[in-house]
Amino acid sequence: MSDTRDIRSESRSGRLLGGLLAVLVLVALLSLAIGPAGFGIPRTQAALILMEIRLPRTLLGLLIGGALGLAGAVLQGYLHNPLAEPGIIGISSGAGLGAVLAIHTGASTAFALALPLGGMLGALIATLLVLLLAGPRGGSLTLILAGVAVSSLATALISLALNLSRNPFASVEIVYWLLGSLADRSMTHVWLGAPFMIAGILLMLRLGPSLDALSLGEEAAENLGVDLARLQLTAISGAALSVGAATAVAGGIGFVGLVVPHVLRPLVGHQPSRLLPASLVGGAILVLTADIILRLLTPAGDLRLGVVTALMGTPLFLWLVHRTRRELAP
Amino acid sequence: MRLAANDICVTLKDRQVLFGVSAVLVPGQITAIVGPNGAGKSTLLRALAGLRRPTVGRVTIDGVPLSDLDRRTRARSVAFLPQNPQVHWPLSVRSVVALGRLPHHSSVARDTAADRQAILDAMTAMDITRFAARSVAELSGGERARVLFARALAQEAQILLADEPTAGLDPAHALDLFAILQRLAAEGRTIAVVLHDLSLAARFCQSAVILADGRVVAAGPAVETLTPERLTQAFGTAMAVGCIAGVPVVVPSERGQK
Repeated sequence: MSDTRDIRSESRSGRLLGGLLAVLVLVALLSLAIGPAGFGIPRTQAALILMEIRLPRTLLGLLIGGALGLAGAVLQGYLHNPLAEPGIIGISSGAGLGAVLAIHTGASTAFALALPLGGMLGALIATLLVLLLAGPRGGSLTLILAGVAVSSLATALISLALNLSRNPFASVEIVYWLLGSLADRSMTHVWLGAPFMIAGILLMLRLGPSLDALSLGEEAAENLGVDLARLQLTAISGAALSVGAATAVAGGIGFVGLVVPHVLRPLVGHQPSRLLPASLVGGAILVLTADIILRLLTPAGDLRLGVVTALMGTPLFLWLVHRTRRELAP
Repeated sequence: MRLAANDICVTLKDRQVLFGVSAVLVPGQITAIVGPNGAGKSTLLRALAGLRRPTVGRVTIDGVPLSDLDRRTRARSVAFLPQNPQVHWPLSVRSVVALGRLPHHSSVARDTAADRQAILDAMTAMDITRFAARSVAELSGGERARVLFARALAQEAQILLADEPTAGLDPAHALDLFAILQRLAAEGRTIAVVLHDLSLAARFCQSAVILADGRVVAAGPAVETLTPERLTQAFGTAMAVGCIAGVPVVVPSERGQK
């Protein structure tokens, strides 16, 4: 009897993943079909628009959404904290600072790819700083503290750059960049960001069993054969590679890494290993959907992606508050 | 499998906790590790499980240093149940027990027939099959303790180390737990438990290690070790050993000066 119950919940997770994948395919096709050149796939300059403008946008949406969703699930599992998100370990702020400095110094006007490259450099420095501060066996609390310290420093330096900026255009560009966007990205951006995001995603997808074991606490996990130092290193480097590259290419896209794993968790029986693939697909769906919505609302491209994901995430969170309150009510 | 600590010293955060402790755990026996608070019992158990590396001395399994084994081999040989074990997510009871099978999984073979049998056996032994699909968050403390013990059983290790496994259990389930431990010992497994209940130690354990201030006060067969003199010496309070209805009982008789 007990066996059939569990197999049922396993097949439910399988069905959920299948359903999510189907939605993702639909959303990705929709994303390819939408643009100022008209709804549907244009036939005349067709291939050019599709390949040069829409395909990179869709690919980046897929990868960035997946990276953010998965990194959120990994960090929530690793930190045993359902409210952890990729930003908590300071990588997105580090990437943000790197990109902002590229704008501030004028490097990005001289050389367009200075922006994403600066972002990746910032993410790398932030990651090394967090790893150095937290130490190899610092545990989750030290890691959060180190992340908060690095993140505050990066945010402060971004504010400083804005504060000292004498060029109003650069300030506007910084603010706009920080709001996140997939607009006007080319295949070069894809080639630049994709290898890091894919490497990070592959690293993180392997952490399922270790994160499951960690649900029993560090000592029990270690007794089950988990190498805690290696788990910490893999979780952070996976998140850093994928979230760092995502932020470097698209700017700040908030809420995805927080809300996607949080919403999907009860649907996979709270098991960290089952949450990873579901959050990967769920994150991609959320980002692509947000990007489609903003293109439909403002075809001229005034609305930024980070704003839309935050606006979409808030109602989901309010619903979570409502559900938690009902569950906790006496 | 024979697990031995040879003259080990363990230091935690610059504070030395164990001073040259030796203990031998033999197959077929349940060994009680007893002593006052802060004596180093849990640290000794962790060192035996390979979770704390001694600064001096070493822990060996059948003569092989524990630190020479790779993590998975060690995980299949030694099951360790921490004190006040926790579960961070509201997982189902069965999926918690199933975590004990992780060291047996390879990248291709998981959830095999052997896994399912081990999980079912562990749940049956701990009398939790009827909770299988429930969330551990809904269970009482004692029920959850049984679920976590079943996790350690599902690991099917030859050596089982448990830190206060009877904490939070009602008397009936505490007796059940020792019945299971006795059965496992009879199958040839090596078992050590940290216990505060000295009566349970005297009743069910064949050998005992008494620790005080990080040193061994006495070790050996339980009947020779758990004596009023040794216990009084270790606990700093007068201890009486008696017998009620044929069952050995150990009680503090008087608060001594320390």
